[in-house]
Amino acid sequence: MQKKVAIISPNPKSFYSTSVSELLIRNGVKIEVVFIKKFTIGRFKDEFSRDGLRLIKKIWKKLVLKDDAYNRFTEIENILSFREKENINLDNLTELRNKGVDVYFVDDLNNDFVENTLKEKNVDLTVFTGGGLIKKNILDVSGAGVLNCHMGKLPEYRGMDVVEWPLLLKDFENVGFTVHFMDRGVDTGDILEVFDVKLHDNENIKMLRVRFEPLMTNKFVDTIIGFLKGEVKRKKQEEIDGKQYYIIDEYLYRLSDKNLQEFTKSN
Amino acid sequence: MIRDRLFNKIDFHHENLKKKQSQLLYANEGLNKKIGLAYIPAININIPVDSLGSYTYFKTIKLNEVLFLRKNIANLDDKALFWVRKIYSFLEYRLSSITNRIKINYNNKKDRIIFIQNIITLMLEYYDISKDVRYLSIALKLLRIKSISKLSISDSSTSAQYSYNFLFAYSLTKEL
Repeated sequence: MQKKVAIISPNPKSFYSTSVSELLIRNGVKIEVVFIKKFTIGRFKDEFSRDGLRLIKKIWKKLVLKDDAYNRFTEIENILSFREKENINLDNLTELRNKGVDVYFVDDLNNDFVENTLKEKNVDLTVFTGGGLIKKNILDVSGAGVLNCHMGKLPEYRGMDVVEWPLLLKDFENVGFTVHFMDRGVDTGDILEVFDVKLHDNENIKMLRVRFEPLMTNKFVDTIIGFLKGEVKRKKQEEIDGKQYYIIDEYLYRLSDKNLQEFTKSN
Repeated sequence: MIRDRLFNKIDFHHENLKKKQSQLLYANEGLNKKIGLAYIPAININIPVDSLGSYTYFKTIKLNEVLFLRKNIANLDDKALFWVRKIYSFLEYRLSSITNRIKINYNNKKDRIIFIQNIITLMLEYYDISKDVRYLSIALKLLRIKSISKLSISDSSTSAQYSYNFLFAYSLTKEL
């Protein structure tokens, strides 16, 4: 029987959200419904209070520069070259309406409308591609749960800036990402798969983060498919196994970049 | 060492600290020597806190409790460790609004600066003991907030504890 999923997204034109969605459809998964967080003044204020000036940089890159943000990274596989290689054409999640998919813009991903719609749709799984915290009422009506791809290896590196923290600590073997279920904690939900990211010669953090995007997109979809087929099992995390990290201080960010460059310097 | 806009005016902070060292409430002589502040003697004011109660909310904690934790940093029991961790989590979670939040702890700006700067010292001292670099990160982020370092825009109003923290953090980052 065809499996049904819901998609949660922060932005209808997100390269990540549209790539994951198209790849899932190609693999025979039915997207029942898409919830996109509206870009409002309230959302901007919330995210700014958490991320500060980093939010401005993020908006500039994702909403203003878009494709041009990758101009400096044509030598490495980035999300654009990945999309081209895989022939991914979905540019906007709203295009899925042409395929009969309900696509909704919502102020709050945890509101009654989202909850009731998920209950009604009775999905097998919800796929999270960004947009903020997901609360218990949504976790409980998302079939097997809400799956996320976290940009760090769990359980060791929970929270934020988890590409940078292992580099600061010179823990170069622990650079990677994790597909896991979301729960009420921060990155503490059941793990499906953990993936290593091998460091390349002469790499810096910006290049590494660009490389992460297509890797995560690809493996996230593979893991979702594997889980829906019953081939991938959940593994519980113990809370005590990892530490929660937050936004790294700018001095320590530069130090982590220096550590990465020194470690990957080729002769 | 990596250049950073935070670590300007090192000489100024040494001079400020030498001038205002009587404002410090607690300083460990061994630690001072280790971080290049040998000119600061041991300082240990009488702290009217013999033991910690249960941690409830950040908004209820007072300077004496922070000084108690600092004084016992090398021998924290489970309860004290819990305090340090809860304070750390609060600081990270509420960093963007910390300037307003500490107004609940202390009305008076001078008292607030002493309070938050001693909390920063606590984070640095805990990092020094534990090598948990997250504590260094939060201390650095807090040190960048000028409104909690001095009473006015004038450098001459920079608190002694801020200068101490600045030089302490500078010493710790050189080791990384």
